[in-house]
Amino acid sequence: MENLLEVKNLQVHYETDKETVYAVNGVSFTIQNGETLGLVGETGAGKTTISLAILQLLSERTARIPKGEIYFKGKNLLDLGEKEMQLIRGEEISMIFQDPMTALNPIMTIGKQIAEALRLHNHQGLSLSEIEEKVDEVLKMVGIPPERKTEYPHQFSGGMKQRVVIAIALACEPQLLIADEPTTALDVTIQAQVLLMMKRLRQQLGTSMILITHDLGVVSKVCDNVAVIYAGEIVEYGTLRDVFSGKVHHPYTVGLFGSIPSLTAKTRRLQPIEGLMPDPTKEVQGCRFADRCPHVREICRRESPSIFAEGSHQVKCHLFREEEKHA
Amino acid sequence: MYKYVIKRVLLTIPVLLGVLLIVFTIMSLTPGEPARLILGASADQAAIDAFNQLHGLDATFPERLWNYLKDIVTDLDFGRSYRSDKPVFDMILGRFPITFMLATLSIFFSAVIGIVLGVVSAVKQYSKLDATLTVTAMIFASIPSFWLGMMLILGFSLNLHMFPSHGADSWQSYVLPVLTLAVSAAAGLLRMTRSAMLETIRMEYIRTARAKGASPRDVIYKHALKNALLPVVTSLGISFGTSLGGAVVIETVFSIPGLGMLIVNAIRDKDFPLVMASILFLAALFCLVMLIVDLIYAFIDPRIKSKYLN
Ligand SMILES: Nc1ncnc2c1ncn2[C@@H]1O[C@H](COP(=O)(O)OP(=O)(O)O)[C@@H](O)[C@H]1O
Ligand SMILES: [Mg+2]
Repeated sequence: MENLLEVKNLQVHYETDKETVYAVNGVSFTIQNGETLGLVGETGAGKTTISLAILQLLSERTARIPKGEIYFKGKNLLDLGEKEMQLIRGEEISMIFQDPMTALNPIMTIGKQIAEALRLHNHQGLSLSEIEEKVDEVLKMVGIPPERKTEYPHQFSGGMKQRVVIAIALACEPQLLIADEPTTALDVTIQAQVLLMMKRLRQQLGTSMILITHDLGVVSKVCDNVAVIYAGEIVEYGTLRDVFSGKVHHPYTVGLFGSIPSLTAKTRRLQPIEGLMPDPTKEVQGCRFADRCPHVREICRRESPSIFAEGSHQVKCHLFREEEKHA
Repeated sequence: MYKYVIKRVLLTIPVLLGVLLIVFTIMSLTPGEPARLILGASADQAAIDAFNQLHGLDATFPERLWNYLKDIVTDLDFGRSYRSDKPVFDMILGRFPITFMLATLSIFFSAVIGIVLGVVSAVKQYSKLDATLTVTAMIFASIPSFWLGMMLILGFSLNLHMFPSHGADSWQSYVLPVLTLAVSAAAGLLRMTRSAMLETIRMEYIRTARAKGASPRDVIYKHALKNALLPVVTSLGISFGTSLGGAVVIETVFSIPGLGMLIVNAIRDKDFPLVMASILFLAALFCLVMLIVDLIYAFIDPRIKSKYLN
């Protein structure tokens, strides 16, 4: 089966007057139709940057993509022009941003904001009243009474706003939804509701999804595959089973889980790991996790680790390469 | 909404009362006798005493204040000018259209120029055009308007003979004073619009709109502009008030017979009723403009509107 999305060795740098931020350093992953990939990592790991690179919404002035390809349905998005990307954004790939409080235009009714997405991709030539009907339909789908479409964002609670944001993203029934920490800004009780709804809609519409999150509980409930990202690199990648109950793990993943968890473990939040991520403005020789790694060796500071693979499970660490050698 | 308007109108009463007290006190404290100033240095003591008695100037300060307030409250009588003996409001309303025209024209032009260039400057941030506009605006915002007025007279009237240097007889005579007033207001509005626009463009909902597939152009005109103009509307209202005040200076520079000139002459004569009424009139007008601005604001910003409705 052809991949819906294939990101290949993606690098993203932000070049400001003073310095270069190495935000994403050679990331590769694939998503197939109907699949959900969880992207897990600390703040500053480069998760949002990857999402924006896929949608080609990075700041034109500072962001550079020195290397990499992003194939969506066989086309490299990095080769497309702005006009072609506009046809893809919102229609084939949608994105939900982290903070629903600021993600909606405060002086436009929510109905108009949903209708805008439908109008921009109106290939069927729907009339205004047909678009309105579609808006009602989408609102019902996310559990908002259609009568409320003439209201403004400030009249909605945080959870309801996030439903509106989801309605906008799903209005054109995209094939890929990128959800950037969609529930982080919400109350815990609301988080579960919103997540459940997203999962239901995703199944109903057959949408593939990249779910960016801090919450390992969320990952275990929603995702098919998991990529653990550290300092702009994927350090561990595999199926849910691989990452949650595989035999080998990247020391960073181990740190993230506190201990190696099982699929049956209760929801657990990311455990803080001692130390800080390396300065993203410095080029690194060797492993980026070396300074925080309990198993650090001399080779880790010298050479960038290559990928240790076992079936679908990949770990980017020297530990296993050497074990292999000794064995 | 009605309730809010009524509340705001009632709130202007203490404001105007405060203005009245301050101006009345200042006028009483500053040296110079109206009788001497109006009747002339050669007037004899009897004429001066008669003048003072006629206008109640022989009374003490509290008595005069009391009488002034009493006339206003009971008969809505703001008195007559000492010099012309005409009712003050007739004089004010006779002069006001010229000042209103000056202020309105200058606000209109400064709004058009300032907002358009401010948006351009923000959209083209970091370009040469943006840098040029920003520096130019900074220069014009810091030039005192009376000096600019005099330079314009020097250049366009005395040297080039393109526009008259004084009076308000034809539309040509409005060109230089309006330009003088509009330039600094436009510079302020440009800076304001630019920064509001830059702030808005960074907002997350702008990115949401782009993620929907909207073009950068659509995003700017349909989402960013209206949001960025919210604070600009308020500053437009304040600019209108300021340019009414600025008109006082500009009318003197260009010898335009407007309200500003009337006030300046009245202050020189210590023509009490005329000064008091003119300033109260301007203050009331300013309150009215600010009320209109707030209503416009509520009209374009649903967040404010729903606050008023509750
Ligand atoms: N516009 C930008 N300009 C410069 N640096 C940026 C910009 N956006 C993000 N970064 C930097 O890139 C790195 C990755 O950020 P981000 O993608 O937001 O991470 P995450 O979403 O995982 O928290 C961080 O070091 C961040 O400071
Ligand atoms: Mg992020």
